Amino acid sequence: MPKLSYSTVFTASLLATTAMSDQCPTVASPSGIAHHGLDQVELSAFEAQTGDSLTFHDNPNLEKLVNRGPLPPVSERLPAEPLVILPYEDCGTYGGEMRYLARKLESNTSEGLSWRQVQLVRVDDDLRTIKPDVAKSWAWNHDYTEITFTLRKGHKWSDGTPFTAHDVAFWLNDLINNEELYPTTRAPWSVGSRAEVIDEVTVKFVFDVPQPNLLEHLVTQGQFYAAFAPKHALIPFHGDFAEDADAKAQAAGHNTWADWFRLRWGHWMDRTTHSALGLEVPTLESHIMVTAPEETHRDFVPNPYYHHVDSAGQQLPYVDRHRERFIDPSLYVIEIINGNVDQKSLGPIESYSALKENEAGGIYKVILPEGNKGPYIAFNQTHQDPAVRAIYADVRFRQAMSMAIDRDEVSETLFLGLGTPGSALPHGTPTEKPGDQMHFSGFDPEAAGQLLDEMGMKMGPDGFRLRPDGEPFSIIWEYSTQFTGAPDFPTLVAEMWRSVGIDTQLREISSVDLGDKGRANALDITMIYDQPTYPVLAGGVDTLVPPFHINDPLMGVPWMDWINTNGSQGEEPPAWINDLVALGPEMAREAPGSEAWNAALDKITDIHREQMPIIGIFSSLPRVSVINKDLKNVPEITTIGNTSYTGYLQPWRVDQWYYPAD
Amino acid sequence: MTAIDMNPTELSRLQLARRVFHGNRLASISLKLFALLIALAVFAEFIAPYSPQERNRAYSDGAPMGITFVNEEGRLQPWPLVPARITSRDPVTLKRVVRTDDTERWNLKFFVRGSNYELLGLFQSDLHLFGVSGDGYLHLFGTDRLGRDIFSRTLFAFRTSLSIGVAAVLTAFVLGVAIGGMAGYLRGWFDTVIMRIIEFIQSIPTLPLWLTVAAAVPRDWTAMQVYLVMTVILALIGWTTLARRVRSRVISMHTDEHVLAGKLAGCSSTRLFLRHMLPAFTGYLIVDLTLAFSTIMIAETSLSFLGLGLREPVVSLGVMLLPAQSISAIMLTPWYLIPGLFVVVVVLLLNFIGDGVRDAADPANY
Repeated sequence: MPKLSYSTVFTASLLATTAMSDQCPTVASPSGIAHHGLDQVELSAFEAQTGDSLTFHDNPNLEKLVNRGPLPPVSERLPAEPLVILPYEDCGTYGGEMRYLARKLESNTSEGLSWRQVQLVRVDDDLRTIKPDVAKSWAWNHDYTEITFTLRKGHKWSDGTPFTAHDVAFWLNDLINNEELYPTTRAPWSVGSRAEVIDEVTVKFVFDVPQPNLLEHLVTQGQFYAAFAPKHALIPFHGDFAEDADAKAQAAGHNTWADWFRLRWGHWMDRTTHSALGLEVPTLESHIMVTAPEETHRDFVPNPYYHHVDSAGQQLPYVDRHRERFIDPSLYVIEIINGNVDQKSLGPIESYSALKENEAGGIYKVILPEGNKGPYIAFNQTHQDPAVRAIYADVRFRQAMSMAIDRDEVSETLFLGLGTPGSALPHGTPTEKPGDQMHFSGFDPEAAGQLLDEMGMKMGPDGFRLRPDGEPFSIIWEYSTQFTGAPDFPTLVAEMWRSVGIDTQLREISSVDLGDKGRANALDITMIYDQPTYPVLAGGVDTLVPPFHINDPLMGVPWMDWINTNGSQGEEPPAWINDLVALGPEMAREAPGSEAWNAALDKITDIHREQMPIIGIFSSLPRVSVINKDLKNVPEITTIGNTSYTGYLQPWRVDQWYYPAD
Repeated sequence: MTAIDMNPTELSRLQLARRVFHGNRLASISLKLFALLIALAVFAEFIAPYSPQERNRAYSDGAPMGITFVNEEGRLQPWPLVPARITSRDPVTLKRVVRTDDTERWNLKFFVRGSNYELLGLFQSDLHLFGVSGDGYLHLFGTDRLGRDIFSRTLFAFRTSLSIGVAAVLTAFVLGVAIGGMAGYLRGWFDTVIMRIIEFIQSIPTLPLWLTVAAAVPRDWTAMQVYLVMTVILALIGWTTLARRVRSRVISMHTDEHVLAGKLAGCSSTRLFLRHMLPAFTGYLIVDLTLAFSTIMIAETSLSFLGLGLREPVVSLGVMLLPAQSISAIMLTPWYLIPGLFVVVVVLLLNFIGDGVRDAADPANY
């Protein structure tokens, strides 16, 4: 067998790399591109700086992968001004498959979705800067009530149909603001908003009230809500456009056109890919579905009309196929160890040890990017029993319970020592004060006991404290391990509470029951897990103002009823709740990071300092995540799934990850 | 033949039974072991080195620790020692790693001062049967996730499970003998009604019943109240089989000559039943009792294991087995299963004892 000289191969590959990098400015070596830290640039600016026009190339396998017959040449498929992406390390090579895991087909798979998602704008890897993506540029009016987006001329949907300002206006005016599709409006900023088409590539959103944090919303909580929809593919099924929409829907076995429509499109980007109907709905994402999803898996291939090119002119994405497999979460770790997964973030922190132990022999590397804040505990201050309510509504009780928790032990025993003890107050914001992180969060059972004594909760004969009225007292802690982070978390905390004399009875129930009971105001304690860390961008404020949660009420159901019905139902909330309710929108009307925004956040935090409605355990807890170690152009991932300021992998630009050719 | 055997009539019935029982080696040893276990459970506070809720932060999820007689210099010692442990986190996997420290030994000591307790509700003490010197610790059966001593907890759990068993079995026994005996003795419509009731109770599928009961328990009940209700329910189901057995025995004895003789002699029904019928099948009752006891212990364990029965902070064998459900627990922390072995041992002991008692109570063996 002829032996290939190592040095020959080495020289050849070195030459190839050099040749490539000459034409491929990257983040690591931006040769010829002037701006510092730049990771994307508009084509005209790029060509002006390199002094050369960029020739486009595409994936040689594309036609076969998409399997829809001959495709027009790449220069015709790209917009007139594609977005030039500077890869982190190198311009990549096409090919390979990325494999992902999810619970089931119908679940909203945020992480897999973030591999291919696009939005009008994106957030940069500094997690602060908003950058163009689908929109080439934008302009605000002076009081933040109008924003004008300029789209990319010649941009096309994945079926080759032009993508225009009409698709954006259609999304807001005919989908989000359509009362048949959405009896209650979806996006907070869409209240009193409408879109106006100015020309084919210019569209304006008009709001009744200032919305300075719209863009931040789009890259945080609105990250998976694409602000555009393929009008041409959807109007045949839309009741406002097609007279026979209802009839067609009924023929297909649905009650109204809206019912059937929702199977083709939902504000959550993933919705469309839940069934074979999604094959008829084009997208702007990096990968598209060309075969119907199955119960066990769902496949994606590159979008031939994707609007990103690398700095060598190659159309992105590099990876040929995305495969999402649906399996039971208890099998995730074993699947990862067996080398069947290329990227996945995991909930239980314990999985870190098993993954790390098998890392050397595996195809993956384990990373520990910043996650959220771990478990949160909130006492029900609107408890149905007036005597119990009086206890939970007493801030001294909440302070005592917080100080009775030995957070170091919780972290050491249940979270591999990775949790940084801390309160639930915002951490890492300009408004943070020196004592905030450990605000009533240091382990101090004596101080806790003193506060309980002050409340009149005397020690009973059995070693447990009585209610101030002399009756026995127990916290009934109903929980579901979905929100506890570690299954033994309630057991450990209950032990700590018992040792300061507060009897705590545990009861594990299903997440569904827990949600029902929470909404019926029938719990003593509600919990959440993975709450956003801090409100750097728009989204985070939701968790600081009532009902303290994005989806389910964390506390104060009767208060929210009172507020939502202007006092005709529910119970009148205390003044501090009213203050928080007023401050939330006040903060939302200010530009994030502005002085007025900080001032509002500071006022909100002050109320939290004083009232302590939520007991936090950790100020930060990392998230266990694995990534195929062969993948290139993967930056240092500093956070994943931290919904307050980024969307899973969005800042890390999955479309320019690639597998090196062997 | 021994001298005693030559004059058996001078021995009371109990003495005869005891002799037959002790002739059965297995039953005899089982009884002694069981008595020892009961003593362990009754004096759990004293025997257990730790209280059931005490957490050892330094040794959570720790493996069982052994006792050695070899000192740190490698020489044999007459007194027991425990090799010291050093725990740390593996810098890579962040797993807790436990090393045996060859340079240090903790002395095993008897009658050491530890946590405070109240024994049998009578006296307070902090004296524990054994412990180790200084800052050391000894976990014979290892520790659970929160660092609680599984040996100590098993003793307390055994007591809980045992007391459920005793309470439930005694209730079931009284109900079974009284109702079954009456049905068999009185016959007629009373018998018919009782038998239909028993059939009805026995036809109720147990798992759905448990699920219903678990769902129906008010949310503010303490674990102790749940414990009492469970005992009652176990007893209410447990009496039916026994009642049927007693009834059939009573019916079959109606025509026995000694019973007829008693009747003719004008014995009252109570005397007839207690004096002339009951002794004839005491053996069966005792066997039934021991078997019922193990059934009820298993029932408690299974129910708590399924999360339907007792809950933390009550410590029962079932509660302790709950975290042993997952495959990772069996792979990484197999000592979680020790309370399960305890159930197996106790049930086997009870069956051997029952076997011996049946032989002993049967006059044919005298």
